Amino acid sequence: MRKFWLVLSHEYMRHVGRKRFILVLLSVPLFMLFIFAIGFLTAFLMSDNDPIGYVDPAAVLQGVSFQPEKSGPFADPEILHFPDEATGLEALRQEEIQSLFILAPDFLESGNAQMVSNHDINENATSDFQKFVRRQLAATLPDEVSERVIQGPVMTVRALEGSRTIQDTVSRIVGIVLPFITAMLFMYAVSTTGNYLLQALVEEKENRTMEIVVTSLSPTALMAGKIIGNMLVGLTQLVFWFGLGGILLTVGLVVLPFLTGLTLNFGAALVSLGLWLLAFILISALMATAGVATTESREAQQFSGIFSLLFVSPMWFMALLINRPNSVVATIFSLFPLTAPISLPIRMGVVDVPGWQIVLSYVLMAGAVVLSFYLAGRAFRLGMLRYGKKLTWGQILGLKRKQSQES
Amino acid sequence: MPTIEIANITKSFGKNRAVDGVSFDVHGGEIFGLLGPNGAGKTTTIRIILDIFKPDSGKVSVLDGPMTEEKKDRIGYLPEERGLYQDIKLENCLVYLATLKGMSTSDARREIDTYLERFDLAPHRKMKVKELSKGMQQKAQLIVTLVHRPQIIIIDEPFTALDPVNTQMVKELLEEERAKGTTIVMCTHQMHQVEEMCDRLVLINQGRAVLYGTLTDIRRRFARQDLEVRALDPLPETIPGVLEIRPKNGSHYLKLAPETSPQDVLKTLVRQDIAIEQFEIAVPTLDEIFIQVVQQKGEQPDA
Repeated sequence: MRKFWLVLSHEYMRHVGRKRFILVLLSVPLFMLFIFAIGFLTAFLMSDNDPIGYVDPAAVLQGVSFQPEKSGPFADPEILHFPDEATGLEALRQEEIQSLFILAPDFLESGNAQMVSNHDINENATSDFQKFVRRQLAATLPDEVSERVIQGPVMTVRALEGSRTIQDTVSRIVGIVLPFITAMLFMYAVSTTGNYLLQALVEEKENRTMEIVVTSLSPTALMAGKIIGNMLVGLTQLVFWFGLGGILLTVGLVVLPFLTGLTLNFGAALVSLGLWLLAFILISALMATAGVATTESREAQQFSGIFSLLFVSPMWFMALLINRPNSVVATIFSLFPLTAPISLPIRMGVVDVPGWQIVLSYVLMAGAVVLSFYLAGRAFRLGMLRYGKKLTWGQILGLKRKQSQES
Repeated sequence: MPTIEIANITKSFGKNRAVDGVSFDVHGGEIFGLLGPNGAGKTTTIRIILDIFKPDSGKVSVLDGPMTEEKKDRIGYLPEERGLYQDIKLENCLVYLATLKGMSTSDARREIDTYLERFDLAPHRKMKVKELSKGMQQKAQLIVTLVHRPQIIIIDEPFTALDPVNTQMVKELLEEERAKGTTIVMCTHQMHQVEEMCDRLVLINQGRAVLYGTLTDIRRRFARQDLEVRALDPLPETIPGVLEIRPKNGSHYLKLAPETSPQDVLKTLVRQDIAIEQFEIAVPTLDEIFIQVVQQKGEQPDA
């Protein structure tokens, strides 16, 4: 048992202690930060805080102007009333305002208005002005009613079988995006871990240390130490990333008003977590097979690339998984062990996946794990001391008898 | 009780029978030579001893019984395919491999320090293994083999990549280990090293043990009716019972007729008053025996 721990800690420390690991660890939050910064910058560049003007021949809005309470790049723009169209257009020409809304004389009946702008139509200007109009029209109503009118309708989406309701848009979006991001992070960690394991085994063969190590401890202890040691490397990454994500989400729930009332599907999260852990073991065993079956890193990478490609393949069918989550293809994707870890959580984010499909997905995944361990063990026994000669699938699967080995 | 007992082991890979009924014993405190041409089955035999491979049939006993995980700590192994973790510091690599042999980290560090000094590797302890020369890596590998003070050392081509100075050092080290009572199985092609160091040997060819015994016995078995004579006076052109007289490095090689004994020749020379400096039965070298046995495809001359 001590030797198993020695291998485990050796494998863990040789990755975690390296600069490359720290870089990988920080790369994900930095990448997220970069994406966030790009989004922020884009919003900043697109935002236009110049005043908006309007002309109201029917005096529906009673000539009121709006002066925002806050200032800054993302504050609401000032809304100015112009007595007539000519004055408003002159202000537009002088670029004192970004756009001018001319309400139709029958605005209350038709809701028609004309927008004049020197630039492309600014969506923000339109929505800001619509909000202003709603607020003004509801000004005479009691405060609570006025607030409801301004907020618009609250939609509750309810599944036909009645087991699932989503009350707000944010929860609906988060319900799709969160499993997606989590699955991606998980698969990234699994793939990194798998590659570490692959590398560790190929190196062991390339360096010819395998023969010394297997005369010091049992192949089982060696493989278990390597697999679990490398899995812990991946788990370290996940704990760091999810911990950071959890902190950000907690802060977001407090600081960002639109996240208030956000509901998360913890049942789906648990189902996904279990599936990902099995997937973790599956890919580790497959990578271990690739590591001992091949003779050099490049060859092993090609071998393992097939598995990695299958694991991320549901990404190409994302639209199908979200828009037609109960289609045959989506169902097959969430049952097949190599595509289920991404497909099933995404489907569960948009629909209630039938229980039998979840159970079947788990059963197939567990079967794949057992099979992969059998293959890894077989490949290890056959391939551990084969220098410069790779194993074929036929040999691993026992279809072809192994030819002469060492002598 | 032999330290290692191999009884009639066989091992096949596919249709190829790599080891075919090999038997031998290795005694405690001896240096035992495991010889054979490339592809003879030596490495497979070693791997069977070390429990890396299971034999198809036959029995292996190491340290009085089958191999166990605990016994692995009492064996030092230097494989033919040398290997160390290339991308880590030499000291860390040695400590890791030593702890896998059951040593505590502190003991491993202390012992490794001693060996690093002895092998002139101390200044390189913080270097990555891949930055060391081939000879240095070979010495580091020897440290891994010896550091945990094994009872059995199995060492495959121990002198590869070593210069004469380091070769001598390794020989002295192995002699020291023998003096301490360590059992050493040495696999090599360098016959002069075997002649110099080994107490007993087995020669494997095409998976079969074709020679087995002490060096003296084997050489005696292969000794022909030939003599090597160095005389101060010139030898006569013909000697009764001698088929051929051939000069050889300042002495003479005498090929005797089958019915002639060395004593007959000695008597003749003494009778003729020839001053003799050296008179000995021409024993073949191990190299000659090796080539002869291998070329005869395993048939022993006295078999």
